[in-house]
Amino acid sequence: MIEFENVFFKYDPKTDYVLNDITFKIDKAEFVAIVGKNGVGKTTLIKHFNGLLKPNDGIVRIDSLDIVKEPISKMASIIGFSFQNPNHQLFAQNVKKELEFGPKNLKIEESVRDATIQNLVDTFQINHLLERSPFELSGGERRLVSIASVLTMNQQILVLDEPTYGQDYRQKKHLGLFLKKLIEEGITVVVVSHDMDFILDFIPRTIVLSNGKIAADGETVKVLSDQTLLQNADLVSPLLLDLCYSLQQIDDTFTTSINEQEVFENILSMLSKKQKMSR
Amino acid sequence: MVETAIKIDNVSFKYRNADSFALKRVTFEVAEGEFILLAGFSGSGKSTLLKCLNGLIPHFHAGRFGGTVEIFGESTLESDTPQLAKQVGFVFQNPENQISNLTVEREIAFPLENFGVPKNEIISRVDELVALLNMEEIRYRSPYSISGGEQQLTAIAAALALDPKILVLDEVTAHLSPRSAVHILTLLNELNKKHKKTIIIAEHRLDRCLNFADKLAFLEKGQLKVFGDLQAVFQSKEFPTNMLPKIPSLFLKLDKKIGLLGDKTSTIPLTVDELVATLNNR
Ligand SMILES: Nc1ncnc2c1ncn2[C@@H]1O[C@H](COP(=O)(O)OP(=O)(O)OP(=O)(O)O)[C@@H](O)[C@H]1O
Ligand SMILES: Nc1ncnc2c1ncn2[C@@H]1O[C@H](COP(=O)(O)OP(=O)(O)OP(=O)(O)O)[C@@H](O)[C@H]1O
Ligand SMILES: [Mg+2]
Ligand SMILES: [Mg+2]
Repeated sequence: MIEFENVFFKYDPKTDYVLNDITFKIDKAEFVAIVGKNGVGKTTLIKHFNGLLKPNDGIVRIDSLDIVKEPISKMASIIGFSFQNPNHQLFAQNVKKELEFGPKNLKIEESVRDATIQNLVDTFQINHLLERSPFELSGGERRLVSIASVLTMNQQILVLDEPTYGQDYRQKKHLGLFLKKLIEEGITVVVVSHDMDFILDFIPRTIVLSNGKIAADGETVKVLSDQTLLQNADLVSPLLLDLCYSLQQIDDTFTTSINEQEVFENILSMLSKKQKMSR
Repeated sequence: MVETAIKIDNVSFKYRNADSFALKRVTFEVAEGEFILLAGFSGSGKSTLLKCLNGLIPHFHAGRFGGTVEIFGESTLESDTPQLAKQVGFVFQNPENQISNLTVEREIAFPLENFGVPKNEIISRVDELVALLNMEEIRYRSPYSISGGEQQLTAIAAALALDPKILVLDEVTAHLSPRSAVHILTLLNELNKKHKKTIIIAEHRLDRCLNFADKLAFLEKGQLKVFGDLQAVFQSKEFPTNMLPKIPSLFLKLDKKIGLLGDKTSTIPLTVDELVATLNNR
């Protein structure tokens, strides 16, 4: 469980707070997205989860542990953390060693380790990359490997900073489905992302950061449909919702949906209704 | 007559340690003033192809290179990289790799200093770019301690500094919030339409680029599978339906079910507005 209580943080005493009185709670097995414009403080916020940054004021508790009092090494066994820039994370000679590093470090039993890695390699379809150097991969491949190398350690909480950037739709789908399965197994997952479509497809709860504060926290569909809120937080709504709103302008009975198949069917029924009327 | 900006002829490339070719006999031409989208699955060779345009391949990456790339009629094999840098503004896939200076401002000025641009001109050019990209707040900051999206903007500003005729941008909206992404794409569109810049961008999220782009190149396993205007590409069997952007995809599904094409329209709508208009006219 993750708990922020009136957290304040700034990098530089002379500037404004990046985190200005942040309070929220994430329960075990929740899947949460954090969104907000560039530079709003998303990365800063999640760096508080494992004590990489410490609050100037307020309390951050992970599994009831006060992060200020715990060594980072202790937090590392509870929280898996994937950085926004994969280069900060990769270092091994080849991808296979990269994947083995974390579990070895945490002294995870070899059979468990190998099974976990095999599962990841199959899910993400990265078998052909195992012998390659992590520095000689394409951007998307490198991002995927850096995420996989965090997922090898079976921690209770996963924090992923922009996991889908540079990924094609197949890789995103593999990742989304995999994370959903982890949630079912009781793992807590927090994702920072600009990828509204990915969030809409997979993540049920969304927290919006704006001006150092939490501007909204709730069901993803509701949050991402609130155009005033999005406007104020300098975000834009997902394309499918844009489409639904525009269709409502020509037919006020058109029902909005975030599901592509549903939108498809709603359009069909709108068209057939129109056809009947014109007869 | 419109000049040919980029001519890629039978280009192949194999990285030194690789088993297979990352590019296989790729051939296509880009006219001056065109806006090209480069699409393909991860690992299909997009970045490799882009690196051929500013001479990084073959000048800096070890490997086997075949074919020719010409920028305004000059082969990259013959021109040196500084000369190319002046013509081809380049933004790398990972913006952090591009950073080397102590402040954001110096980062933007760096290419100008390299070409001995007079000091007062440098200052006014940096002013201009900072305003254009809304970077006032980070101007005097260290590029190492700004957010991911802010680093991406910095890299874009530096690529624009020398006012190159060609802009090559690799996944340039990846770290940008949707609104910044729209801002940057709109800006690129303006540079393209008003200032005749030739633009080629690699993107995974095609949805919001469709109203700007003239053509799309689709790479698969190093091969150029389709190249042409968006309409032709989206109707081509070589373009995977799963990769279709949302609006064209929805339209083509509707078309399959109730036949929309060829009735009153022969074009696939690319944007929300176009789709709504098409449906409304039916
Ligand atoms: N190490 C640092 N030192 C000083 N300021 C920093 C540092 N890291 C980030 N900042 C500043 O703090 C603010 C929040 O940055 P942060 O990286 O948390 O943003 P973000 O929401 O993750 O943005 P993005 O979406 O662009 O990655 C920004 O104004 C940024 O410039
Ligand atoms: N330095 C390198 N050495 C060896 N192989 C490489 C190197 N860089 C890339 N590759 C390989 O070349 C192929 C093409 O890579 P490239 O980076 O061009 O793909 P891409 O289409 O840009 O992918 P992405 O969408 O993931 O960025 C991939 O199989 C990749 O693993
Ligand atoms: Mg960030
Ligand atoms: Mg790439």
